[in-house]
Amino acid sequence: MKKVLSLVLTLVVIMALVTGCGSKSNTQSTETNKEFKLGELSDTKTMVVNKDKKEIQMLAQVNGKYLTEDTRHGVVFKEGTNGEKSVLRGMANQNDFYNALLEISAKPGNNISLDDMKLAAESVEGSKLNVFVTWNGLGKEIPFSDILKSNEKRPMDIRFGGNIEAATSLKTGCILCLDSCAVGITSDAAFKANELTLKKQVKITGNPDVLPPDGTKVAVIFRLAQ
Amino acid sequence: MRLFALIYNTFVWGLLTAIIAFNNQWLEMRINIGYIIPVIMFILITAVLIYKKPVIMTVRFTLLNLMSCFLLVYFIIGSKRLTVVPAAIIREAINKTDITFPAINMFLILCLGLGLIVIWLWKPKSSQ
Repeated sequence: MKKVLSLVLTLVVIMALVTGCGSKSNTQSTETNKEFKLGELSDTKTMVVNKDKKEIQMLAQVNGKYLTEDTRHGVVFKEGTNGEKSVLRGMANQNDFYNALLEISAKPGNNISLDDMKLAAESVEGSKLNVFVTWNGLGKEIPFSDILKSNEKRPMDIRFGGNIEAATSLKTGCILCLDSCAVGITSDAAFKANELTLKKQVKITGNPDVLPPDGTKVAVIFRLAQ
Repeated sequence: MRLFALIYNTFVWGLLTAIIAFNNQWLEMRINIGYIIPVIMFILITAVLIYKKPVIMTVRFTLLNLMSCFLLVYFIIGSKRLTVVPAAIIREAINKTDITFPAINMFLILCLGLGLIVIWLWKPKSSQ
């Protein structure tokens, strides 16, 4: 009798597993049939470059993990080695993003080395960028700093750090780092190189009061500051 | 059935270890913390299987283990993070980042609950 009951329960678990996976697949296939759109962005067009406006729009996705956990990664390409370590999962490749920044005439700083990441002394240089975020239903663009929660507020100063060689060789996928970085294509000069990890004084998480739920697709807008 | 109880308990320990490791930001930023679960399971199962005397994990032991691990996790990460951290670890481990946290949590509760019932029904003994 017990053996039969155990077998039944095991079957229930297996059925639950299969149903769980199956329902996910159905959801995915429905989503695939109806392509997601957000302004000019879509699942097939994850990055839009506007040379006249000197603007790049990138599709990204909220990672709910960092609504409670702190991180030094703002936006990382989802297939990069750090793809699951950022507040927003970028849907476009970091190398394409770098080339897009060159297209809108941004100048890379290239002033932070990997050795600087051990010192927390240097700030990233390069063209200044104003970064905004929006999503379906929000009806406006909000500054990137608004989607973050920090125990020490410093005005964001996003710079085009460059770092294409490190980005290509390390394949981290880093697009926007929350402190000055030797690998991220862009990073925040308000914090010194790797300061968040080395000094551990400031903790930054996604802001759950502002950001939409885990998995929501958002547009990240990078504008070259005049 | 001894093996089932062993897999069940080592999974709980693997998840506990992964949650503790998750709190180390340096580590969390560098590796997929979820991989700790199968590594811990493999080490412990191998150790138990090569141990000369049979190790019996009874339903009482399993229940106490589950409860003490749950309490430990609760004190380490708190109630708010409890609904996010274990699910995030599992989601990253299986590389299915589009599955929602509530879905993973529900599935985890279902599996742990049913697993416990299976162990209770079978009552692992040395002869099994």
